[in-house]
Amino acid sequence: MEAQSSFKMAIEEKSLIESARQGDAEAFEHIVKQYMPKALAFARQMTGNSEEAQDLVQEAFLKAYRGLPNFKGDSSFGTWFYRILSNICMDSLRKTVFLKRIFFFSVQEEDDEGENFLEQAPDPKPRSRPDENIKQRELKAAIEKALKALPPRQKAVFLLKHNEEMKIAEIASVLKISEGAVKAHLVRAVTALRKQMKGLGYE
Amino acid sequence: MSRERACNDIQKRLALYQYGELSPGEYSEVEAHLSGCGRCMRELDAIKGVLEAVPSGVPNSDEVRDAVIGTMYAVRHPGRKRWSRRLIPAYVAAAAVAAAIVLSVYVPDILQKTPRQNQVIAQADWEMLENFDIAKDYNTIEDLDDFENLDEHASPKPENAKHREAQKQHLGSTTASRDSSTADEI
Repeated sequence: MEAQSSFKMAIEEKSLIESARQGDAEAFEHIVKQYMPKALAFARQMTGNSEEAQDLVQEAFLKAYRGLPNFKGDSSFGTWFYRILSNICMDSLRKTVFLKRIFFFSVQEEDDEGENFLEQAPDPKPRSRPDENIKQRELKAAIEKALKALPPRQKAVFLLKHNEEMKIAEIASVLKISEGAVKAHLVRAVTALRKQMKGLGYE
Repeated sequence: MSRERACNDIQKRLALYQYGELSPGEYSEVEAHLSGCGRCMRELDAIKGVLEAVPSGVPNSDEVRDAVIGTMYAVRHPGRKRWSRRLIPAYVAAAAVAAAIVLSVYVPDILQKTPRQNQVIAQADWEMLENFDIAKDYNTIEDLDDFENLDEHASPKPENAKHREAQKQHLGSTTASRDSSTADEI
């Protein structure tokens, strides 16, 4: 049943893409609505900054819109779009690191008004005991910090796997690296997050 | 293989195991080890805890979506190009030719001297011409000093002094004979 519905969605998406390539702006609107939430979540976790994430996602969608005539359909639209988005995010991260090194200033990485992005996301397993809530919040903050510290490519691999639930082969296609490299990046990312947890006493 | 080494090898694969990205053979190997190793089982639980703590919630994106759609409508629709990119070199060449034509027509006019400049030049030419006339037509020389001054400016070298002296004497005799003939005519 699930396979049938995902097959149907794939057919619908292909039809929308084809219409958008012919200049149907409404068709592309549907695609934007479909991909926007997860794209924004991905960009936010890549950059750690919601404003920057919004800019990067906008840039990615507009690039995709302009580049539609060149989209040949060799890969799925999702793969192609995430390739654009992850490249834009990684470039932005590299630029930030470069500027930090040159000018020794700290680029704001928190959300506006000091809001913690983690608090916006629904807690997957709500706890009833207060001390456990505090521990969970502490752990989430540590994980977020460790995520931010990951190198851009490692972070992209991890997020595409963990949040977008892409297969190793698809991630390799998005980032144009080998499957072996994807696996290596994924293992290193999880190891780094695990180390952060150990530092907080979670054995 | 020692137990520690085996555990290290298995723990390196736990992330991929958790994500279901191991081959069937590797999957069986890890499962077999986990069934008999408490240490590796605890490590697997810790990795599960880490992955569960990673936020995956999707924030509200309506505002961004509307901004993207608004900008998209402002952009030209794909597929309808006004300019052909292949013709860009031709456009550049045509613009260069047009610029060259314009410059060839107007630059000479710009470089030409103003009427006032032309007048000054004409005056200087006339004065130079007059000097030549004075030098050539010895009848009109009233003051040989002027001629001497002209000559000194032209060739101040001492070796020309004899030559100048000779010229003066010749001029003097010529002028004198012409003066006498003019006086006779009058």
